[in-house]
Amino acid sequence: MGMLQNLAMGFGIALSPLNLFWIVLGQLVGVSVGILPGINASMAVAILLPLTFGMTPVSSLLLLAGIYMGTMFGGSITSILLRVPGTSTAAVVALDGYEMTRKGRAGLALGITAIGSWIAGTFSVMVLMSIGPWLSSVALAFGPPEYFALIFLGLTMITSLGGGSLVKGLIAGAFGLLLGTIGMDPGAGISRFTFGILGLDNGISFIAVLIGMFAVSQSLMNLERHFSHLFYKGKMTGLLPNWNDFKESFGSIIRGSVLGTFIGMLPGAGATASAFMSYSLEARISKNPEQVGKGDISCVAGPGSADNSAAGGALVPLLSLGIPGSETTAVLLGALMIHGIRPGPLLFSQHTSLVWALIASLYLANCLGLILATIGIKPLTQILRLPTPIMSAFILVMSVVGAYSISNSMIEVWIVVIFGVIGYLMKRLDIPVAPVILALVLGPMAEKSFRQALFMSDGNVIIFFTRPITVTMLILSGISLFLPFILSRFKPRILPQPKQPDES
Amino acid sequence: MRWAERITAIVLLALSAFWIQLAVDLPFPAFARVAKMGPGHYPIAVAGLLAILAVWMLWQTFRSKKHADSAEDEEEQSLDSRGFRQLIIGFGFFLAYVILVPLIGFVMASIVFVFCFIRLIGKFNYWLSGALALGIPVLLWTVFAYLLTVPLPKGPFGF
Repeated sequence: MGMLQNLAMGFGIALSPLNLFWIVLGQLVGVSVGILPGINASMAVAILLPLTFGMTPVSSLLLLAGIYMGTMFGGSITSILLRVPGTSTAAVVALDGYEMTRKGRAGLALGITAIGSWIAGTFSVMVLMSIGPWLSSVALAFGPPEYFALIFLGLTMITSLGGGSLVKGLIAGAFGLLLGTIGMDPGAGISRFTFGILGLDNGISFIAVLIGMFAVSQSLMNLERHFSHLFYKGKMTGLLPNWNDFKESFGSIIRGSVLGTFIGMLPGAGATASAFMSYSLEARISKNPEQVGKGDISCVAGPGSADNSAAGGALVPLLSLGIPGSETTAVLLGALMIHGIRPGPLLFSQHTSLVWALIASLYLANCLGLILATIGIKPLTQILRLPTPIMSAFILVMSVVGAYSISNSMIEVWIVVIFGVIGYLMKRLDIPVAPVILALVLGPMAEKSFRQALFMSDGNVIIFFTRPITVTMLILSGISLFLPFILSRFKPRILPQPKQPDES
Repeated sequence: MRWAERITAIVLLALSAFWIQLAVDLPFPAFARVAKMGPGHYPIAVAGLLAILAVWMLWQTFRSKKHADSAEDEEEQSLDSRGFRQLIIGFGFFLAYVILVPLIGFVMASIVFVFCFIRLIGKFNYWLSGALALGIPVLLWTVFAYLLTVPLPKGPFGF
């Protein structure tokens, strides 16, 4: 079947009334989550994941994809109106976006972000559509050595997730790898580090660690803050940009879309990095440098688009290679695995309808985002009135019931409590938590393919240095270890330090 | 901050040592010997890596004195005594809640937890706290126990 036929089939599935309902619900939840400071996409997906246990794989993925795409735009709303970034990706939109609000151009800033997000999202879905199947057909020829090199490459890119300190990002990654060694070993079937707890034989529950590290730890962080309630009281007019505004920002939107998609595809780099890089690019090439930081529309349109396209780009390695590129895609990987679907090169051929329904739903979610933005921004910001203690109580109860339903036992609930505390301490110490999740997912995959490769070569490690693809990827891994240093050179001085990708 | 980092580094070193010790004792079945890599080798490598990184972090805390001090100031600002008290009380409630769930059932434990949390931390009035304490657990019970048929822990009252 050709790409267009597949796409038509995907739309056919996604447009069924029930599936459409899940996409709309996901989008609404996503935008709300994006608006609320203290909740981000990973956390929302983590606590809502247990709810999807009873759903069909397609419905649950559509719901989660809707949340994923919705959060990106929702975060920009409060960034622009109140200078409170709902998500870390939107932090950079706050710089010039809030300045535009102060000049009475709030509507325009939101409008251009919505249109930019839509164009960027569409672009990244098109790239996913064209590269994904091709990449997976290439990857079908991969043997264990190539897989190991690929996963290793993904692991080294964790360094760029750290944000601040390189050593702390690496420590978080190594800790995740260590947790990944719990359970049955992939070569000989020996129980490791289970301390006699039967529930640990299949490894430490990834979802429970996720709920603890994202939901519970963030609720603990919220507890120690005193929130003052902020509301946007100004008028909102002129949401649609006029021709001049559009002409001025069109270039930025396109640059943001391309940059975001390709940075999003790199494992580990993610949406936050792409938004920051887009801002720095726009700031450098701006025609009115004196306006940068004071409400320059291109500096809103560029990063506002880049984060959306990065979200789509990150799905390329996930769907075609089975390797998550960001913590949110790691969560989506967990969601797929719960439903018995193993992302990887075979996904496009074995679960054709699921993949194309997902692609169609991403596109629909994008269009819905644009509609929501034009009609619903003002009422949506009212979500900010929800008091934090009520939200925290709800999230904590939801975490317990969600963890319990993983395997109907209290072991997972205790894992949630323990990792809630560990996640909290890590946040206090400025150690990023996202690398733990990525390493926990990738670590066992890396060990398995490494040992399979050694079985092939009778234990000779030379196998990793005689195959061209493997060698190329290992060299790239070496380069990516130094990526944070390279990236830091692109950061203009006026930017605040990027927050951790998991923080809100 | 510097002290916290040092303690973390030492805890991580101890964890690595513990992991390596457990890994060394793992059996290495004969059939797996072809690959010359047994169940213990990878965990030893990972724990070794963690130990090296912990030493690196420890070394950094001694090297960048000035930088660490300024970070410490920020840290002090963000966690005041009221915030700390709220954190401890809130976490205490949560811990008590998790202990209570298997004893008195999900619904009862949640009612108690949500009420205490919203009334004592959120400082909301009795009516709102009570309404939410009933509403949230009943909503989640309906979704998980009724719609998704998860056998949530029951208390002595049968729910």
